[in-house]
Amino acid sequence: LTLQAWNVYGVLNFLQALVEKSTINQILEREKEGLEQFTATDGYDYNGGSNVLKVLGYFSMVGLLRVHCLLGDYHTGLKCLLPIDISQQGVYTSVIGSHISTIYHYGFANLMLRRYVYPCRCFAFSASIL
Amino acid sequence: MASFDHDDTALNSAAPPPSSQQGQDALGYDPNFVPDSVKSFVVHLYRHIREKNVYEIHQMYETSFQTLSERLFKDTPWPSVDAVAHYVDNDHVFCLLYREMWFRHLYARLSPTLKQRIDSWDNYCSLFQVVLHGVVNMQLPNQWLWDMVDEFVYQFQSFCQYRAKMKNKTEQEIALLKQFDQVHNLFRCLALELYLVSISVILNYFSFRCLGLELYLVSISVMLNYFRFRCLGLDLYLVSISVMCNYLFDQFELYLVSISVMFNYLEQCELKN
Repeated sequence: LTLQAWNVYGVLNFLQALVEKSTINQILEREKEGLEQFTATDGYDYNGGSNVLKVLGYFSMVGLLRVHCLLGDYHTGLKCLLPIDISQQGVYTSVIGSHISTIYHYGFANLMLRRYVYPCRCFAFSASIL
Repeated sequence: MASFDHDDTALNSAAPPPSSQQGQDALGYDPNFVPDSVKSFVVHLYRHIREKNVYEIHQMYETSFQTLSERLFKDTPWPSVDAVAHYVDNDHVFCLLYREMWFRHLYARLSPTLKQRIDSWDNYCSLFQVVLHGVVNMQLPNQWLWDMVDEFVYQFQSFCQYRAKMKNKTEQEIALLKQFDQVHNLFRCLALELYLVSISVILNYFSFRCLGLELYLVSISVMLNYFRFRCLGLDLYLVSISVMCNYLFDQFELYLVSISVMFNYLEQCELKN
């Protein structure tokens, strides 16, 4: 791994692996059905478990969006963010840096794809929270 | 954002590259000297992490770390991890976390050398591997976890900018970059990626059929064309792999077919390059 210091594939690998190994997609999916709590506890685990992998996986989705924005692959980037519902508050709004970065890159990617309505809506929503 | 106009000063301070972190440099910075306040910071942080006291960890991380950085380490790095390790029972994970903060502070306040950038990458590799293997049982504040991901991407971006700037680089540095920069080492990347993906494919296959049947009906040829297009275009093959895997999550055989196709394309890519 050292041989590939800061290689783009290595970076994507880690972020993707964190997303997948944490099964964050399933957790968010199960949460919608009321089978699991994640957003309500801000990602913390009050039953003695660890929040590290889950929350890292969650934030890695934003990280992936950001890397894909750097690479100019906006479509894939937005796809990575799909599990997070940015039309309402969630764990991503619990940290101010994460909130801003998520909204910024979401908006940026959408603007680059010439979709102007979604980002407007989401910027307005974020401005109302911030 | 760190400025990248100070590359030359950074290089000078790294003149003896192997020991740039050991031994005293021109600024009178001794990486092995641990002030009492740092000792108590490390000991307390370690204790709070062990006791899973998220509130206290957050306080120390947000407030004490910044205060100490401001007061004692304005333009020098924090003490090296080796110097503080014995205060925390040489705890492997804690040392990785400490080094992560150490590098973050370095990136924010000073100009990291090439060696330090590579060391930071190695540190992230070790840290994420520990997390991925699920042996971490601590609770950390969301702020800290976000900062980790944020910094990881930022350092990647910073490395790309650094690498692109060839002016001011010595022969030695360029040689080192060449040695570390095996961008076309396809099969190593691919092996890791396939390994990681395969875990999740199996998990997904058994537990959760995430995508409906309509995606299955998307014909193979469309996917392959998409993949070829991506491959020929920007050499972003890894992106396409993850895209494809998303399409193929619930079709195991299809997934296996696609691997062999991918290999063919990747070989072609490599031949071209």
